Amino acid sequence: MSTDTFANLLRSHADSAYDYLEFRRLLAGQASALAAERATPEEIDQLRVKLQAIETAHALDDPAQEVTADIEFHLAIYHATHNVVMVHIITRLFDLLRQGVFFDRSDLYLRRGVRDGFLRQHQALFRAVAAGDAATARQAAENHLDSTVEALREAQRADQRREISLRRRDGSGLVAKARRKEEGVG
Amino acid sequence: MPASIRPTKLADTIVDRLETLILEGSLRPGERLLPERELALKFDVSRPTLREALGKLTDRGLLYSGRGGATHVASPLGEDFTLPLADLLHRQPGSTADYLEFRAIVEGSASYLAALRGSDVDRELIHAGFLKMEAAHQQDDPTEEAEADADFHIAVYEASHNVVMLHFMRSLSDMLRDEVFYNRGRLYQRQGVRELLLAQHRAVHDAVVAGDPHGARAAAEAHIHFTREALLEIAAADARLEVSLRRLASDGEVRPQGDAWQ
Repeated sequence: MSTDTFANLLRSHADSAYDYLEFRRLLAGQASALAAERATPEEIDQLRVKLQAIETAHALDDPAQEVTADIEFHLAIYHATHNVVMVHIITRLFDLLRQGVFFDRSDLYLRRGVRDGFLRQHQALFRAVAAGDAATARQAAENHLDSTVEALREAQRADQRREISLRRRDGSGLVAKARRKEEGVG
Repeated sequence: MPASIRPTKLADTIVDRLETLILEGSLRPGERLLPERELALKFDVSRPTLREALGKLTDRGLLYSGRGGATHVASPLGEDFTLPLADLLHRQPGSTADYLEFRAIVEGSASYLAALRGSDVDRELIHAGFLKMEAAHQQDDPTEEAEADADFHIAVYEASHNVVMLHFMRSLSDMLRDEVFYNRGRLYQRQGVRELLLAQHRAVHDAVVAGDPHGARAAAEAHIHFTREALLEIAAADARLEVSLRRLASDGEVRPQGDAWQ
């Protein structure tokens, strides 16, 4: 979709990212519980393949590839709910993510600690769904979305902090006399 | 170096303002804007400036021109979202059950958030919505009651203050009004169902207005589960009727009826 009205509307309002992630969280918890109850052996095999793709990208240190594999893994969980309405709506939600409406997902992935955390969360989610443990699957999915919210908040703050660092280093440009080297960060 | 500070173009300020109103749901899909002349007065701008702003919003798909040149608010998710879903529901039997399963998930959380976050204004709107439902119920007007029912749920989504959820659920609600998922009339006509539905809405209303998130979630989930059960009952009754009709139709006199989901 080249002209996605809804995507553009959300893009111009940065705070909608948190509404987006809240909506995702409430769907993900319940969907993961349903997937744990309903996934067929073939679907669990599929999930294992998708998880391995994440692990491979992670080992290769390839954030872009890991992001793609990440979305594929989550979509496979929703397919395992066997609920066509859920799949339709979640596909639309992931479309927004792919278009980078709220944040650049690979930005989050650039942080090593965040990436390692996401990988462990995906593994935990897979284990719970494969074991047919609905309560643990729900918890794992909600933890994962909580971590995403936290990572996003930190990434946004980090951007703002860097702006401040730059201004401090380079000066505000508003004073008459330019800052001398030894006074600045140098 | 600080960037130079320039006043934003007037037209862009209007675009931002209207966009925010559409995103937060204060301007609703289908609503007709005031005539250009009056809008220009409201914003205190020239008509060419206003026209430029409306033009930009139309290009972005947020407004459209209706009959007689009137400007209407478009549905941001639009037909790209609803048409494939409607198509899916027509092709796939049993997807109504999927819809209700999805609704139970969202409805529970939306009611939870509404009880948690709803302002006094939100609670008043939910209360007014419920009173409208009750009035339609007493006047024995199933069409009016079904409309008030849908409006009541929208008020709950609004009180949850999650705009992403609001837009998705509003699109689904419009499909519900178009009877894409099931025939609401049949649901309301069924003996005893209307009374029970009203009591369930009262329970959701009471919990949200009282600011009881857990009670609101439980009441909303119970309401959707009941709806699913009632529709299954109707489908089963239809199936039984069809068997009887087929027996009669062996004489070739009577045509079997359709599916209750439709």
